[in-house]
Amino acid sequence: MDSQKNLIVRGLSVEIRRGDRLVRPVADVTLELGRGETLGIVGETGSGKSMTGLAIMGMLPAGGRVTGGSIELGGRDLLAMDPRRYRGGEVAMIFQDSLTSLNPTKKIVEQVAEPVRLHRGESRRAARERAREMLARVGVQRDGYPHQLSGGQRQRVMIAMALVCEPEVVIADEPTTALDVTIQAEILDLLDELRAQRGMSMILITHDMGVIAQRADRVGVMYGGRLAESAPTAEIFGRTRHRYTRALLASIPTLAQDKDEELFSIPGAPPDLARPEPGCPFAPRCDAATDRCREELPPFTGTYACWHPVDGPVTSAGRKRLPPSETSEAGETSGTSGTGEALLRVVDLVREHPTGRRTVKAVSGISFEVAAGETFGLVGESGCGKSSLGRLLVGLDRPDGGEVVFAGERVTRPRRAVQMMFQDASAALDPRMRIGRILREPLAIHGIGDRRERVGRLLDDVGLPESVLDRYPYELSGGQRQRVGLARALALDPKVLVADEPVSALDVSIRSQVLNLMRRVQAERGLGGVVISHDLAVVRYLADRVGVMYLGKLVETGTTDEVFGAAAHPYTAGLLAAVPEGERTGTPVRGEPPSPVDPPSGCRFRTRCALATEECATTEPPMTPVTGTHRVACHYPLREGRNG
Amino acid sequence: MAKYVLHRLVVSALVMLGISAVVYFMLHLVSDSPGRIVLGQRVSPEAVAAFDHQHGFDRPVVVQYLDYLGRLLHGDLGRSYKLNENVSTLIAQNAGRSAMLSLAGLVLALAVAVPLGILQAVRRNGPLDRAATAVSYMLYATPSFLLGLVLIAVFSQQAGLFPAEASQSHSPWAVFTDPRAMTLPVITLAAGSVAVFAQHQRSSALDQLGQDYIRVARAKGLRERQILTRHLLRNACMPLITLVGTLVPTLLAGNVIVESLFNYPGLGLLFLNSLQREDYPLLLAYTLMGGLLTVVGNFLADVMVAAADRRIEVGR
Repeated sequence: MDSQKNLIVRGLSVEIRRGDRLVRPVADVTLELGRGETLGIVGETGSGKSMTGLAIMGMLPAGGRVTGGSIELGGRDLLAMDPRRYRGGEVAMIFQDSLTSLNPTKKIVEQVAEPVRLHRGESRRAARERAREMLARVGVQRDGYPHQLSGGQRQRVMIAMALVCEPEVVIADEPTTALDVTIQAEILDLLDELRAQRGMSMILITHDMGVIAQRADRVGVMYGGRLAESAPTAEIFGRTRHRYTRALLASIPTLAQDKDEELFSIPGAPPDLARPEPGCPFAPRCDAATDRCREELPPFTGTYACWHPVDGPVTSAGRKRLPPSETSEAGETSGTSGTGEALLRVVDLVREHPTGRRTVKAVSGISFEVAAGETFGLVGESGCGKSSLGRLLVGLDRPDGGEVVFAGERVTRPRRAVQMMFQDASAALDPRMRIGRILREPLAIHGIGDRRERVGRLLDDVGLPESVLDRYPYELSGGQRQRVGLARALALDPKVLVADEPVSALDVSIRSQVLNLMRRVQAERGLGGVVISHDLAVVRYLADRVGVMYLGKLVETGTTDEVFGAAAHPYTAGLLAAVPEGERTGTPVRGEPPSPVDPPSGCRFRTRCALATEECATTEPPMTPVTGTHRVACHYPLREGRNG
Repeated sequence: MAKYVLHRLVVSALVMLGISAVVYFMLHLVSDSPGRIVLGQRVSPEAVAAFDHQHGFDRPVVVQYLDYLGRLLHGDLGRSYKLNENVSTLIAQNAGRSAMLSLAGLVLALAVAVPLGILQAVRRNGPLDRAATAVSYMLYATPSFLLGLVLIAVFSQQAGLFPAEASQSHSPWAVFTDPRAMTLPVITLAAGSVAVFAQHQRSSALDQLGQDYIRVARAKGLRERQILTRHLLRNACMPLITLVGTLVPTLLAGNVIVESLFNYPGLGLLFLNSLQREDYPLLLAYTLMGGLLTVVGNFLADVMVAAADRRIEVGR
C-alpha cells in the first residue's frame, strides 16, 4: 500500500525552545497522504496544524527542531535532506493571504518566476515565460506590483508561486481564511482543479469544517499538538469518534441548524503547550472526562485517541435548547419587531471617503430600523461598506447625507445608549491599561458612581472572574478579551449594541461561547442590536432580521428566516450558495465586487448577476416588498424554490 | 509622477522663501550696522552712518530684504565684508571640496551601516548585535570633535599612520588624490552617521523580516543570503532613503567641525571664520545653503522613495 502513499509522516514530534520556555507544538503525529489525495488538517490556534506543515517544509521557526518521528516523500527521508532541495520544488506551501505575503517592491511575474530559476535552473527569460503561463492558468492576466491586486488575486498569485514547479505535494495553510466566501469558493475550486490535473497531493490546513467537508478526502483533527482523530471525511462527519471532534462540530453555527437551539460550547480554553499535562489534552474541557483521561494519554488507535469514544454522527443531542423563559422572551420581542416603534432608525445614510481625486462611496443611501430587543444583522462581502455603516451608527463617524436617529434624536457623536463591540479586542483594548481601569473608564467619563460594584456585576454578566481586573489585556486569552470587549460595551447600560465582526478573530470553540453569551446578554437586557459580519451563519444565529449589503446599498431585508430560507435577491442566493456547507446548491456568486470608487450604473450587482438585462444597467431597482416584512431591490427577484 | 514632482518643487520654493526671510530678519536683529563691522570699532559714528547710507543699509529692513532677494534671484549673494570678494565666488571655491568630503563620509557610512544593520537584524540579540548596538550608541554619543581628536591622537600621533591635517589641495578630488590625508576626516564625519544609519537599518530590517513575504521566499527554497539580497534589502532600505535625505544638511554641519579640526579648506571652515569675523553676507549665504540642502534633500528622498516604492500614490 505504501507505494500508493506519497507523503508519510510517522510519529512526528516538534519542540521549540525560546530562552527558558520549551513548547511542544507537535507530539506524535502520524499522517499519510496518497497520490492525488487531499488530506484536511483541522484544529484551532495552537493545535499544531500549521507547525506540522512547517515541519514538513523544514521551516520550523527559530529554536524549533524535530525531536522524533520521520517524514518520507516517495520513499526518501526528508528529515535527512537539506530542506532547500525539495522546498518550493517538490513540496510547496501556500500561506494565508495577507497584505505582506508578496514582496511589495517586486513585480509578480518576477516573484512567480523565482522558484523556476531556482529549482529548474532555467534562464531568466524562460522562467518568466513559465511564470506568465502559470499566472494565466490561475486567472491573473497582467503583471504588476502586489498592491495593485485584490486579496483574491494575491491569493491566486500565491498559488501560482507554489505550483509553478509542479510540486508533488502542496501544503495549503488556511489558503482562504482572509477571503470572502464568494472568493473562497473560487480559490478552492481552482486548487482542486489544479490538483486533479497534475495528480498532486494536497494537505489542506484549516479551521473551517465546512471547507474540509467539501474538499478533503481524509481528515486529521488536531488538538493540543496531537492527532485526536483521523479518518476518511465521510466518517469524520458520519461516524465521529473523538469527543473533541464531536464538541467542535456541535459548536459551529451552521445555516441549517435550529436557531432556537443554543450552540454547544466547549468550556475553557485550549491547553498551554509549555505546560503539558499527563493524560488526554482535551480532558480538562471534556464533559465525559474521567480520572483515567486526566492521568493516562489515550493511544492513537489508527482512527482516534480517546478513552471514551463516541460513535455516530453529531446530532442536536449535544446542544441545549434555549431555556423556555428566554425563548418566549425572544419570541415576544421578535413579535413586536415588525410593529413596535423603532429604537434606532437609519434614514438614507450616505458616507463617502475622499482619497485624493477619487471618492470611495462606502455607504450610498441606506435605511433600516431596529426595534428594542431586536437584533438586525448586516451581511456582505468585504468592502461593501458594512463597517463604515457600523461606525456611523455609533456616532464615531458623521454621515455625508441622511441621518441616524436614536429614540427620536439625531446621533451626531458617540452617545451612551449606543455602544460598539469591536472585532479585534486585542487591538481595541489599551494594552497599557489593566482590565479594571478599562471597564471603569467609560463610567468615569460619564461621571457614574459606584463603579467598582457596577464593574463587578459586568464581570458576572460576561462570565469572567474578578481576578481579571488586575490583569493587562495581553494576559488574557482571545475569548476572554472579547468578553471584556462586550463588558466594556455594556458598561454604560446601552440600549443598542453594535457588534462589528464580534467573533471572526476567535477560534471555533471560543466562538460559540461568545455567540451564546451575546445572545443571552441581549435577551436578558432587552438590548437592540446590530450585528455586522461576513459570516452568514453568525448573523443567522444572532439576528432576528437581516439586511444584505452590496457596494454601499441594501439589496434585501427581511426576517432571518425569509432572507436565509427564501432569498429573493440573486446576490443573497449566490452568497448562500458560496458558503461551504454540506452539498452545494445553487450557483455561488463569482468574481469580486467592482470598486466602490466607481460603482456600476443602475443595479450595482448587475456586473456579477446572471439574470442582468439592459434594464438593470439603466434603472436602479427600488426596494419593493415581497411579503409584509421581506423587501428586495431587484428587477427580477427570485421566487421561492428557484434558488434551491 | 511629473505632477507630483512639480507640486513638490513649488512647495520647496515656498519653504525656501520662508527660510530666507526668517534668516535675514534674525541676522538683522543680532548684527550691528554693517558699517561698524566693515570699518571697525575705531571709526567715528558719522563715518559708519555715511557708509551705511552709501550702501543702502539705512533703508527699512523690509526694503533691504526685498533688495537682497532681488539680487539673490540674479545669483548675487552679496559681497563679503571682510574678504573683499563676492560671496558666490567664495562659496564656489569651497563648495566642491566640502561636497566631496560629505559625499565620501556618506558613502562610507552607508557602506558600513546597511550591511551591518541587516546583519544585526538577522542575528538579533546575539553577541554581534549587542556589540554593534553598544558601539553605535557610544559613537552616537561621542561629539565628533572628540572622536576626531582621539583619532588624531591614536592614528596620527601615536601610530603615525595618517597625517593630522587634511589635504590642503585646492582640488575637490583630494579624497582620491590624497587618500591618506583624508582618511581621518572622512572616518570622523562618517562615524556618527554609521551609528544612526545602522540602528535605523536594523529596526527596519527587523520589521521586514517579520513580514510574510520573507517566509514565502523561504518556502520557495531560497538560501538565506538570497532572501536578504533579493527580497529584504530593497524593502529594508526604504526608511533609510528618507533618513539620508534629511541628514544631508547635518553632514554639512558636521563639516564645520571636521573641517576646522583637520584644517580642511571647505565651506565649514569658511563659515566658522566668517562667524568669528561677523561677516554677515557670508553667514547669510551659508545658512540659506543649509536650508536649500534640507529642502532639496527631503525633496530628493521623497521622489526616490516614490520611485522605489510603487505603492506611494504620486500625483496627489
